[in-house]
Amino acid sequence: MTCRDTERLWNELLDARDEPRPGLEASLEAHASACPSCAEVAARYRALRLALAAWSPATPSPGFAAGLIRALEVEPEPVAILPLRRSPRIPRAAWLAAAATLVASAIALVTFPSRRGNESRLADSPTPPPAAEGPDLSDALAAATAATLELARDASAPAGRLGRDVLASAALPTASPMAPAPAPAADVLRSLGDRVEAGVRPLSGPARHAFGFLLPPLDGDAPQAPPATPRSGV
Amino acid sequence: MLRDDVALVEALRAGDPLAPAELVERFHGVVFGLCLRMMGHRHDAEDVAQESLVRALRGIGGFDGSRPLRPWLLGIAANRCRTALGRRSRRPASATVEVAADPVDPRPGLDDPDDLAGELSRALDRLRPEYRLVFALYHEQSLLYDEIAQAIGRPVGTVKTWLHRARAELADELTRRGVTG
Repeated sequence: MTCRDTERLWNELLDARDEPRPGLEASLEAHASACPSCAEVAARYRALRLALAAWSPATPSPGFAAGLIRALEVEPEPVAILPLRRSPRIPRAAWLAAAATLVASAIALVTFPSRRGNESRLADSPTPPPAAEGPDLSDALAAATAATLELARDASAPAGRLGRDVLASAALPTASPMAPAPAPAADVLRSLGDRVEAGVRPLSGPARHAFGFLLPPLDGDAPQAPPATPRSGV
Repeated sequence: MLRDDVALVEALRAGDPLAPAELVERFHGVVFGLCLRMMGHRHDAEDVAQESLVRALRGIGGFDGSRPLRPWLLGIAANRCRTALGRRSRRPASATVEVAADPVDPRPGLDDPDDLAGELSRALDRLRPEYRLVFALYHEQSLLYDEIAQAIGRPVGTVKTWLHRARAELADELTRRGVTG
């Protein structure tokens, strides 16, 4: 053996625990007797072996096991740990509720004229059937506005503002998107002009893109734009 | 009549009301022994040993019954000791109990076996926790290299390296303290 093997072989000897390895031990001692540096290493490992031989396993207090068994007997079953409920994500939920409300309101507003006169479909509606043409539309719009505003107010202030603006814009007379757009009446144009002058921007960019079809055309008496050109909103 | 470990695990899984006490009776000594080597304090060691055995009883459903039970239990105890040592190290300095370092023993040789065991225990307390863990698992709990590797979740090569370094440091410390072979 060489000096480089000394530490490895001492570990091999210690790996054997109590198993006798007389050949290996004799080889290590023979090398240590001839090599001063390895003799120091051998002395250190002999001290460790001696201490290990005197080492006894630690034992717990006499009553430890009995106490633990008693504790196990009285310990209740582990309770399933439920994850803490996170606070609701109000802004996202508010936006989703407002968007759903707006879509429902928009669909109701667009399709409302076609329902007029259809008694069986109106009978399913929670709103009472209209008795006369003018006031019924106003009542329905008022009810939808109130319900929408209530929902939007509950959800969030920004969503409420958006719903109010959209409904205010959609309250103007509209035509079916499938039918040819009639020429806007003078009072509609006047109203839109007033709103533009007042700097009203009822819809954000994405909302205008989504619900722009509800808005009345602005081209008025001007020549109708080609179909491919997107219609500008208010 | 005592069951073997496989039968004990099956009894625990089947809900035998006597099985938990049998597990505690059989393994509390080895679990406590490891905890004492790691924690260096009897009271802390008993707390951690109790926590380890309770965890083992709760987790027996996930134990692979084809493997030996003792390394698994000691692995749980090693984990709990590591957590407890981490908790202890994060305690505020004012809450920790300062243990004075033992002075170097000037006596030329110590041949009293009790003193030798005490010297080894004190030297062990000064080792890094991972070295102390593998040394205790190998020399006190008599686990094999691969059982230690499995218990502490480290490769066998790492276990060997840590054990060899632990021995070298302990041998140096014992010699420094006057223990001669």
